[in-house]
Amino acid sequence: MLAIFVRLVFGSLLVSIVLVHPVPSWAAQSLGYIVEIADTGKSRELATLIETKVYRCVIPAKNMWVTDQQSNCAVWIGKNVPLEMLRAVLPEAMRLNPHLKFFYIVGDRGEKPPQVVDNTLHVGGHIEAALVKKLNMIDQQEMLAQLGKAASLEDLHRYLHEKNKPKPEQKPAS
Amino acid sequence: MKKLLAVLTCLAMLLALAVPVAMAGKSTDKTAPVTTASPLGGTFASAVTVTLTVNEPATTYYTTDGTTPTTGSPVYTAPLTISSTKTLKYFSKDTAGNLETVKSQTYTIGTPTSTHATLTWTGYAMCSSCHTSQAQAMYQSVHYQWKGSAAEMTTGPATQGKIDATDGSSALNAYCINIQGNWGPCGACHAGTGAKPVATGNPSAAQLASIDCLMCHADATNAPYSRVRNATTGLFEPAAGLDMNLVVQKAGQKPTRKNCLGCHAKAGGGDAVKRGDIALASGTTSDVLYDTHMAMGSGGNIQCQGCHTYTSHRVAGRGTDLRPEDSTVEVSCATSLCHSTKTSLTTSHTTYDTSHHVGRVACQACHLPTYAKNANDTANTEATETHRNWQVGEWNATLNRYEPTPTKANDLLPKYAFWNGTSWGNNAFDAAALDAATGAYKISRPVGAINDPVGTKLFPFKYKTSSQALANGKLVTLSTATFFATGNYDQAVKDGLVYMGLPSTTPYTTVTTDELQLLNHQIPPATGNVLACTDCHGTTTRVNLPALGYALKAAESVVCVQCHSQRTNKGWASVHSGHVGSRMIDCSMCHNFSRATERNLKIGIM
Repeated sequence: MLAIFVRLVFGSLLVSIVLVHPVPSWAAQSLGYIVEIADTGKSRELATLIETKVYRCVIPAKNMWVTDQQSNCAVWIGKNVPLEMLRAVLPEAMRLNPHLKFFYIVGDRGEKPPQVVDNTLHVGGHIEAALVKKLNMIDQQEMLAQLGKAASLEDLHRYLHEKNKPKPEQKPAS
Repeated sequence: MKKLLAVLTCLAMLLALAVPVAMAGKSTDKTAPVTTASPLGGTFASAVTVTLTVNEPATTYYTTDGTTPTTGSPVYTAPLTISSTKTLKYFSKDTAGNLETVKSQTYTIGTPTSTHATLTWTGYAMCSSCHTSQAQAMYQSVHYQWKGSAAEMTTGPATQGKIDATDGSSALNAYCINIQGNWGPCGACHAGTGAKPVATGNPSAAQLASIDCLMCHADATNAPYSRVRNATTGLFEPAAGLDMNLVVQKAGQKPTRKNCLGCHAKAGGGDAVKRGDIALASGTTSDVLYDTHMAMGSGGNIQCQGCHTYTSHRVAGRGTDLRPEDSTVEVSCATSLCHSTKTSLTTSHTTYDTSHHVGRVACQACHLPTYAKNANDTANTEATETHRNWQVGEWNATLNRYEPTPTKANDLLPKYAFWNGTSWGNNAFDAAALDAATGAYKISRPVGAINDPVGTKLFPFKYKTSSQALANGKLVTLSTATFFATGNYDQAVKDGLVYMGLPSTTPYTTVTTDELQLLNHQIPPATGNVLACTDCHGTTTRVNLPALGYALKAAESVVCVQCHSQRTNKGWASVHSGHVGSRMIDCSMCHNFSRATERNLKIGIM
């Protein structure tokens, strides 16, 4: 009986810690969050840095859309990726690739990606995809400031959703 | 008096007949004539003779002093010699009185004042400002318009291509189906700065400046050029950090393999995906077994235009699955520079039996045993796509989208078919056609048969299938945009149905489609690699010759006894040696085709 009581108390304690506090990095890793980095520029340096912060990191094999830092200038943010992980990774990513200018919550345009994408932070998405989605550029300093002041993950998502609202169609160049 | 009355009556009748005709003519022709200058304006080392031609009976007026011509200006009657830098302005007026808009060409005579070595980059317009005639030629090419003459197509309108359209001119394929809704990423390989090409016979300076000459003419070794989209305009611009002055100073060379392969190797969405015989490796490998023509080192190191000759930015060679032809010039293995002795039906090869094949068998049929080879000095596998499944999406992390699931393979045996130079193609909005032989709906086919005229030959092809939707008897141009975003095949098909003018509730089924794509590259050295006779004859593993029309026209008991009693069949080699090799008996004695004329064979019972 005592054993059951102790288990209940500890269980409740653990649940309350997880719910109240941001997910710590070790927990992020254990929950299967992952950072994917496109193989351009200083991707390996970034991977090393991120791994020191105890986040799981991969550099997928190149494809024809992985070309250079200027073209691979988007960040695809899985909707479950914790704020703490974003605060740890994105400043380093921006420092090592000053061309990063699109930040997007995957699914914000109604996409239904595989579940694993919800837990993935992808650094180095291609500009073609950003243009197809009609995303808006976000200044790195502004993004960094927003990362710092966001009260919650939902708060940051709200900000990115507003920033990425498509602008009215412009007459295409001929 | 009677005579006068008769004459007046005739005149009145003539007048009565003529007036409606004249009025009818006036009311029907409202099209302005089109005048073309040849050559177009540009820089010329010495005096140039310019011819003006008009596409219908008309009077052409011109000036060379920079003023705008009127009907009071000189009338063009003979070619004009321009010996100093001048601007020629001209227009025509047809017999119905329709006036053409004034056109202008500038002819710069003498050595240009600047050379590439001293250039400073000012933007894409700088190329066409000097190379105007080249830019105008390029603007009309298939490389720029992605559309052109479909003279070699047996199906569809006179002009066809990749560009999405609802008039039946837009090609389907078994890869992305159609570029409907996907111009951006597709356009990344367009030889322009990002905007969709505008079809016009008289492009403006701004439109000519939309050509990105550097994609093909930059020096990929000494001053590499790369470009990125401007996130605001969506147009391409040079990548940051490039010394564009150096790039433009070094530009002006003919394209290298790297330039061409930058797009052509990546067709279909990745390296080697679409063209089973072209990969990025074709530009870098030294593996002669991969491609003896293009390989460096002990290979030929032949650049693309070594075979794909060009005139005025029009390039020879058309894959059988492509709708437009850029040039009417045919690519040939036997030229004055290469394989010049390989056209003789009797002496081109070591034996007569081999030599006579050249009349009806394309060189690559025997010299390309397998395709989609893996070059031995590259990291990539150069596997090509053999099937694309649109029903199952796989996630592309870089593009943040779903893509159809591909099946890829290496070292494939070609399919073989006769090709007479023309093609059959299913375009968007066409009725789908089922091929009973393959059980799949046809996307494209080489046209040809064993009895087609001389020039028709047996060629090797890549065989490609795809799973696509079929509704109302038509293949559905599914919305790639929807599929990419959601991976939802059903919704993508429904959106495609709406694009086709059908209700989204229209029932559809998913069928297999297929296409054949001509193979020309990846030829290994002949010695030790060319097919042996027994690879094709006496077996159907590689090629089913009977199915291609080589079967006997009747049973042996019928065919043989035309001339002699039935004997034991000693095999195809012996039979052909005795009948064709020695006695020169025409094929039609035993088969349903004849080679009597082209090979001087005899028809009739010997």
